[in-house]
Amino acid sequence: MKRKKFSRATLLFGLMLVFLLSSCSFVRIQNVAVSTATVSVRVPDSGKTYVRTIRSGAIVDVFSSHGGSYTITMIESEEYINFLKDLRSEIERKLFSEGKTLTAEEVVRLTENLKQIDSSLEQTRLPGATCSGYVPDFDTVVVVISFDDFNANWSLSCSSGSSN
Amino acid sequence: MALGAGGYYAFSNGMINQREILNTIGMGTGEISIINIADEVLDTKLLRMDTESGSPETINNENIAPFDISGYGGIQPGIYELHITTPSGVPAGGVCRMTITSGDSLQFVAVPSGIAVSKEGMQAQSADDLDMSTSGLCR
Repeated sequence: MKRKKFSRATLLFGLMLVFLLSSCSFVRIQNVAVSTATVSVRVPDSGKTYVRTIRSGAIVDVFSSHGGSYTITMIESEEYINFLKDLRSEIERKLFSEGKTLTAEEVVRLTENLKQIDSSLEQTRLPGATCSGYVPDFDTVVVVISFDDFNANWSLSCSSGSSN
Repeated sequence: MALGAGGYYAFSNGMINQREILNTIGMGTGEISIINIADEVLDTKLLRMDTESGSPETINNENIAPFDISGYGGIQPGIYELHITTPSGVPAGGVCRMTITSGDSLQFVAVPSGIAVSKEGMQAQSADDLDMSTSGLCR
């Protein structure tokens, strides 16, 4: 019987793949408040902001391909939804209805609006309701969202793993 | 030397991260951001096409709820396909085949009529460039 031979390159590639896939980290967000929360999440492997809407009692995992610093911020839900609805109307109308007749200037403006989504999201953040932490490679950290009824404030608690 | 010390200070204080440093020297990764402004959950899957075995390899799957923003970070340079589908077929979704290089940042925005795609540092010339079904970014 002929044995299958693996080249050194295949072995190296396999090991690298295993390393890359297994160095993944998770930020686990748990909403213990009685109402739905919308949060923006910055994970170590992305320069972009992710947004998750989390129902009361729900837990959501956000993946990062490696460890590092992360930040979670509460978002003013209504303002955020309205911003996205406005953007949807603009894309629907300009790109998919009037696309054939768009001028170069309108294309530039639409592209710019798409690129500014991240900075526009900044404006929907709730001041003060934010926390940061460190998620190590191969690890999961937990963030708890709660609502302080007495002060009528959202509260975020970020855990950190050891960087060593 | 001053540059090195400044870089170390910025890194140790969290002003820059590992991803930004590697992108600066051309040894970084790419990222894909997906914004779901359609009315349905988007099922997305990222496949690497240029594998040693020649068979596509699934990198990750993401189900993205309406009005959520998600994506894939830390993507090693290579050839990939992003598959986007919805249970009802609205938006129609589709496949975007793209070559990712260090520092690339692509953005997909799904609305009920279709999916818009753009890339940081690249200016669209026409509406076709922004529509995933016709864009040159997805070839």
